[in-house]
Amino acid sequence: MRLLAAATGYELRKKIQFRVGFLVREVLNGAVEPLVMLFVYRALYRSAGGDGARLGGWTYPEIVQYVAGLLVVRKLVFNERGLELSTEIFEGRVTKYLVMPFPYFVLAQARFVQFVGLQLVVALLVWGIGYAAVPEHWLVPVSGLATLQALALALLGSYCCFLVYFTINAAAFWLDVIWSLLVMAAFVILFIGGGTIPVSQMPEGVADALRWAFPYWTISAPIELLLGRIGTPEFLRGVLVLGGWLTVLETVRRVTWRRGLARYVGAGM
Amino acid sequence: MLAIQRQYVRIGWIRKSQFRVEFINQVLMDCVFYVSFILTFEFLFELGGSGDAALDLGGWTRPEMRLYLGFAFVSDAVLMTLLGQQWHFGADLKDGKLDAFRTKPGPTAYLYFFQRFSPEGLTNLIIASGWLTYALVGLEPGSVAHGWLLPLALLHTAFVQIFLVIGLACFELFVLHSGIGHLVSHIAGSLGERPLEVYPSALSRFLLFVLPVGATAWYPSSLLLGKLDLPFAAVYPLATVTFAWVAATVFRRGLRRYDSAMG
Repeated sequence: MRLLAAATGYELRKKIQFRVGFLVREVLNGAVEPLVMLFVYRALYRSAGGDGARLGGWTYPEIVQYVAGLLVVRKLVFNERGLELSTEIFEGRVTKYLVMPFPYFVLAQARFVQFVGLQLVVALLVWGIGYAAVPEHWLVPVSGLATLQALALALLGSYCCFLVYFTINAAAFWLDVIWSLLVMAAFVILFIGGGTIPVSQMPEGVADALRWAFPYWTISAPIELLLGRIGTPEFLRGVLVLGGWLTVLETVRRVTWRRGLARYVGAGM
Repeated sequence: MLAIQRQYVRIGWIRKSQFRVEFINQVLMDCVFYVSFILTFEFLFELGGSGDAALDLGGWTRPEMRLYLGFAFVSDAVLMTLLGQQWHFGADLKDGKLDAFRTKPGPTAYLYFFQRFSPEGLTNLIIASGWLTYALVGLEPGSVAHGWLLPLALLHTAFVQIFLVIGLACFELFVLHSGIGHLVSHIAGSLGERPLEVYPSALSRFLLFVLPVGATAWYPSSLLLGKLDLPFAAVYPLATVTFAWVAATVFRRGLRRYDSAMG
């Protein structure tokens, strides 16, 4: 744990060194698409008869609140740029970790802890700014319990994303370049998680299928919890689904890492 | 410049012949991007029922929107094919890696931004053109008012895309290692991927005349569909030429700040 705490401290200091870059990459990141989609929704609802029209179970003011939730919740979702493991594999720098008296994965986990710690502050900041600017349109959680449940789902889901990106990074033991896989995974997670339109607004069959995938419980479900559209039974189902995914993803990560190390020669590219 | 471009293309093919899996991955990656975009709009239109004209986006029906996306994809593929180096500009500037491009014969912007010819981008350009063709064929008979303008519209799109990259890179020249160029580029790209009619009129005008991302998909698709007044359609390219001149000039001047050791 001491190692985890120390490594987390280093990661944090590194992150906030370039302040403008920090603002651009961490605070504004992920805000563009949802805000642009608001204009699209506005036009769509106008053609449907106005803000009061209900499309796929959502009115326009509810969509605005969903987007507000998206701006906050997406901050907590571990992103594809969060790890440099593939570069370390390419350059043969993994060797130094193999002779150290602790597993390399702890350092990666420290990156995750740093990410969550920092992004919780950023998410709170974004929520506060939004609430101060447009309180009548902003998402206000229906209850403290809903907030805790949403936070739990978002963080569990974020850890799933971390495991996915770690495993893709570890694919660098076999592949020469992996950034396109990372970007692809990020696209898919965002889309099927409801990062563009709410999953419950997608066609019924699609939405039902996506409720078995972890991205829905990482992005869309926490927002719906905050809005009061779903409650404790759905939260419990989400915990079960995420628990299952965590088990599968952790197993895949371990196998990938072990097999990768078996073919690692320490010389890099 | 043609000789240099030939070399860039040759190097691009050699590079990808060494990274074959990556070639496939990058083609797949852009296909995922296309599919997610197509599904987003198909799902949105589906909310109004299965009829094509049930809902619209600022006057754009579902078939028209498919054409719009076709131009957005083609425009993006042009960017990925010829100008992929733009994503590295901020880091290269910080690391002082522009020296070689300033001493070689030819404009620095051309030598730098065109250096990474992408065969996978070209493959995606073919796929994007396929979607554009599908969208054109799927339109109601008679709704394509000026189909003969398609080649000119595509050339104009490519022209604007090139100078948008140069113009947006200027942000990096003035705010070093901030990623602001990426952010502005991302914002501009996202705004340009939706019809301008969905935005407030001031923002639409900004996206047409100041930062003309509207010229990449909105102008060519509106032109083909006959949504534009003839005088505006004829004069608008002057605005994009003016933007190109301003972007090139600011970039040249901004480059004077470069001193090889900026990080």
